[in-house]
Amino acid sequence: MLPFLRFFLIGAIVLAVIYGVLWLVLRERRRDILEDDWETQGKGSPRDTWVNRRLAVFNQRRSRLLPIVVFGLPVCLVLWIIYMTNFR
Amino acid sequence: MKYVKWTLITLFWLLVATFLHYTLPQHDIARVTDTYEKVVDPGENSLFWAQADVGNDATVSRRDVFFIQTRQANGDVMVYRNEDTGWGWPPYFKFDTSNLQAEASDAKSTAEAPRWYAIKHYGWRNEFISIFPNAISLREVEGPDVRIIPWLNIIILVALFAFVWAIYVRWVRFWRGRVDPALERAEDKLHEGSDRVKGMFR
Repeated sequence: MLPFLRFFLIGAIVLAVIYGVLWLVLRERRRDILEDDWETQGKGSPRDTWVNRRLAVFNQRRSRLLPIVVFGLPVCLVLWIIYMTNFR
Repeated sequence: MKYVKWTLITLFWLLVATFLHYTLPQHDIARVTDTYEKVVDPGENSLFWAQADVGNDATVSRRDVFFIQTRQANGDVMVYRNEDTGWGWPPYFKFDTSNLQAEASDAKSTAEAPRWYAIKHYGWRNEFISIFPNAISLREVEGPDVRIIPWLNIIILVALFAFVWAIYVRWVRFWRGRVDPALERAEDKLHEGSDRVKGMFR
């Protein structure tokens, strides 16, 4: 039990760090893209309002997809390795 | 100074290559000749041994370890250990040691009627410090000359290379964008200062 808990804890911490870093990096990337878009499309409204409104949509989308990718993919990978090593 | 820098860089990458050579899976094609178990008490070489099977007391170092003896087509012998890696390192998640030992027992063959098996393993055989590669799985193959392409190794190494390259490119960009100009400004300030001091003595 203890080795599994150790593996689970280390994995959870590493994945949480990766999740945090990816969330921030992807959000900043999206903000830069939106600011460029504002230059061409949204000059009517103030920049920050225009950008932040659209950024909120992307944040919501990212909050659905990113956990699945960052936490789900490694779990699937571990399960696949366990199957390939022990049951094939 | 240049030699020191390049020596350190070479040593670092040599260490990485050694680590990868130990940890990544390899395939040997061999004929299983015998299986046995032996009491092992890892001491100085304990880095190259695993731990007790999952579910057993992991604090006791002395334990029975399964071994698989083989002979390769060129006449060389190779002995593998057969241990659980469990939830530890390397991440093979191997729990079926006893099952593998049963398979290996059934795979025994003689030189007159050989049955060739591809043995996936990791680790090194070193007679001087008594370490053995850890067999992961057995798979019967037609003959000793079957070509096995290490797909997993290729994928892992390409991914690792891409990751290192991505970091290197960003590091060089950062260095050229932020550090070099700052160093140049510092150098200019130094020249300015030294000119001013020299001017005092003219």
